[in-house]
Amino acid sequence: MLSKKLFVVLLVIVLVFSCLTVYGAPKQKVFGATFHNLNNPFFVALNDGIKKVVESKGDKLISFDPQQDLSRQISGIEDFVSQKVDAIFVAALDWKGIKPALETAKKAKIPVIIVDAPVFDVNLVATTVASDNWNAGVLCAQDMIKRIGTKANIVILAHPTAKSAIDRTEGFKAEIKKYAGLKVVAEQSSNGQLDQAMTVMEDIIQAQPKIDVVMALNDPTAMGAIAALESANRLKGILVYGVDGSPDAKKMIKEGNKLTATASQFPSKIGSMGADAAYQILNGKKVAKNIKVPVELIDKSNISKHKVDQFE
Amino acid sequence: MINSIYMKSYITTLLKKRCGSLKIKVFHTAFSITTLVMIMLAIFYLHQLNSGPVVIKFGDFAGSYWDIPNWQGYKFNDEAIAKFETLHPGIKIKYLTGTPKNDYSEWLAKKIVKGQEPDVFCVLAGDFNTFASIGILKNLDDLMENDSAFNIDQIYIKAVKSGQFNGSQYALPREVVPIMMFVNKSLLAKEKIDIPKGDWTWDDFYRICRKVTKDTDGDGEIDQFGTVDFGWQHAVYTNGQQLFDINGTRAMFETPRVVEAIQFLRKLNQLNSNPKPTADDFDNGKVAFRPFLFSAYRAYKSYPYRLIRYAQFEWECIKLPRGTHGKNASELFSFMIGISSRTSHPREAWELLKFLTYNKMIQKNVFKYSYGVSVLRQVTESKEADLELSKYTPDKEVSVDKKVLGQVIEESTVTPRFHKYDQAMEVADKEIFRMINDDIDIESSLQKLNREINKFLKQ
Repeated sequence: MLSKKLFVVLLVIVLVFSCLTVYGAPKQKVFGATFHNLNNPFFVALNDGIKKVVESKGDKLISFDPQQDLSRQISGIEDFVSQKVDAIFVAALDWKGIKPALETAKKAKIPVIIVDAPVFDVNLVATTVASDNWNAGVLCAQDMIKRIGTKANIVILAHPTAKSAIDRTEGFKAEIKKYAGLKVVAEQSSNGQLDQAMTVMEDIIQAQPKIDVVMALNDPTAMGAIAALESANRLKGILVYGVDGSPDAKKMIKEGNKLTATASQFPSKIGSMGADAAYQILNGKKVAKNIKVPVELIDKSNISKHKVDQFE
Repeated sequence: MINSIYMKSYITTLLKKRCGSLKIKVFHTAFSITTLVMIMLAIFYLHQLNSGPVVIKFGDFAGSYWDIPNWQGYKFNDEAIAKFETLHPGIKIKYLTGTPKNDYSEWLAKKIVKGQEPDVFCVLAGDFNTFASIGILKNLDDLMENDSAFNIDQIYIKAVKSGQFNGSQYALPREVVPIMMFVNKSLLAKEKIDIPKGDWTWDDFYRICRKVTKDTDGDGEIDQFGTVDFGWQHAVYTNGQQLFDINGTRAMFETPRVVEAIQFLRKLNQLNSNPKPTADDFDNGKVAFRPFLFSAYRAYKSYPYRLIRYAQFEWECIKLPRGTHGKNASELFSFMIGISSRTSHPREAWELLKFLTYNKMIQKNVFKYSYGVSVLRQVTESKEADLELSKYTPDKEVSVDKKVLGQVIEESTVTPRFHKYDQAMEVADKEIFRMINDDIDIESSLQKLNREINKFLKQ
């Protein structure tokens, strides 16, 4: 049986943790946030960007990590709705498959702010704050052409259910389509995960005797590809591109020649802009349906101008 | 039913013919009892069918317990739950996950206050003492003792101890991780120093640290160091000393072994008092030794994470150096799971807890999906564990002798679990930091600290 002491101790814990939600600060707003996972430092920086704004106003952010599982992400959002949060931030794992959760939120009149990965059913969400993902792919392609010319065997590591990744890949492809000599010899999904990219790349290495370029949808995927190439002694001479501008990627660019370049995003900025938009919506103000955050290519030539140890 | 009435009348006629009226009476009684039992069983069966399977709520956080990115960490529970439900068709698991580790304590505390905590849940190290002391964790002693299919001796003794509170078992470990010493092999090779052997001592450690601490670029500032993060607790535990008695009623900070440990640490720190090395210095290859969790070794020794950390130099892990009275091991960290004391289904909850922590097939997945070490000796020392450990290391080499690993686990210290432990250690940490860095008498300062902590423990 639980003692009185138990209730006293737990009550104190909850009162402290919940920042006196019920009695002390009745106007405190509570937000929900769910991204692809919290393994990827990009999403951690995005989460922190939102949290910083939310907590500066004395409000609360509850994060839910679906661990790359769409059904978990849907039930996480439904759980936010049942908790009656004020608004929900979502980076959808599947830009079409997320629809049922968005409908639930819409029905409950809870605004959804899409961050990083756009969704198909834009009418179900209040706004979308994301990087210019198409341009990230274009920048990588243009840099590649500058370095290697217009003849190369290219591997694309994609994530065909995440719109942010789709746009990057399509932007890259649109640029290389202009040159017949640039051939995509393999295009496979790695779910944007470092470990998974390594195993996918291992298979591609077995099947492809000549690879000149790897275009990865994000930095963890680029590193997974590098791990597989290095482990198979095939890395030398291959250009590898990532997207994110993560500290690990920038460190790799600075210290060696393994990663050619990364199209840098600004997750903290996406997070803070998303949070600002949420407050505007809750205050009855109008916000743009699409808020695009520019990207920038980082390579050895300009790495010294960037902060290597953090997302920018 | 009609068939049984026919059968009864048939057998009665038969008995009348052959045995007479007494045996008929006995038959009537036996038949009635059997029929009654069968009806009761049928009702029970129908009730079971209508009420459906027992639902056990299982709570866990999202992500790695060891704070290392691990994209397939969730597979451990997903696979275990699927297999458990197949083997136990009468039990359904409701899996509650998704809360990041940093928010998990708060999430669980809220559930507990509402009386909605999961039947089985993961217990973070910082919560164990509180949960056990306030009675939210079920005492597992009877469940373990009455289960003939469970033999606690299969689990590393120190791992078992990490789930004990006041001498009783309140949680079982799913996986453990000892502390090892990371060695920058490139730095030692440059200084022409051999990698220390497994049973090395504080003297060996100090000698090497002194030799490598130097200004390598001639700018007048020390830029190469012996060690970073070798803390006072490491010194105390490698000198074979506990800081409290098992029930947390008495502090032992004034013992000669603690005095010796703190004196050693002050001497070690004086080698590099200005500037002090940082973890970044180790990452950049400028420090010879750094204590680390074995999970970090597992993650960063192999691809793909070896690309991200410590890629600029060769490194290996060895045992920690031992003091005059101790062993080459420090503290043991455990990932624990417990049962709510308020569960309505203790038997089913125990089956799940046992499955996660004691089933060999599931425990093999610790090596596959996590960066910890299985708590089952037989699994950790198996060939399958070798295969998983060597999967992505260059040359498929298993560089850790698992007998040594088992030895380190068993020689590690499990700190006593009691309610005031964390607060007492916080007080001690501040004071001992002062003792190491200021020129004050260590022995008398420790005596004073011991009195203060004893007073606090008695309050």
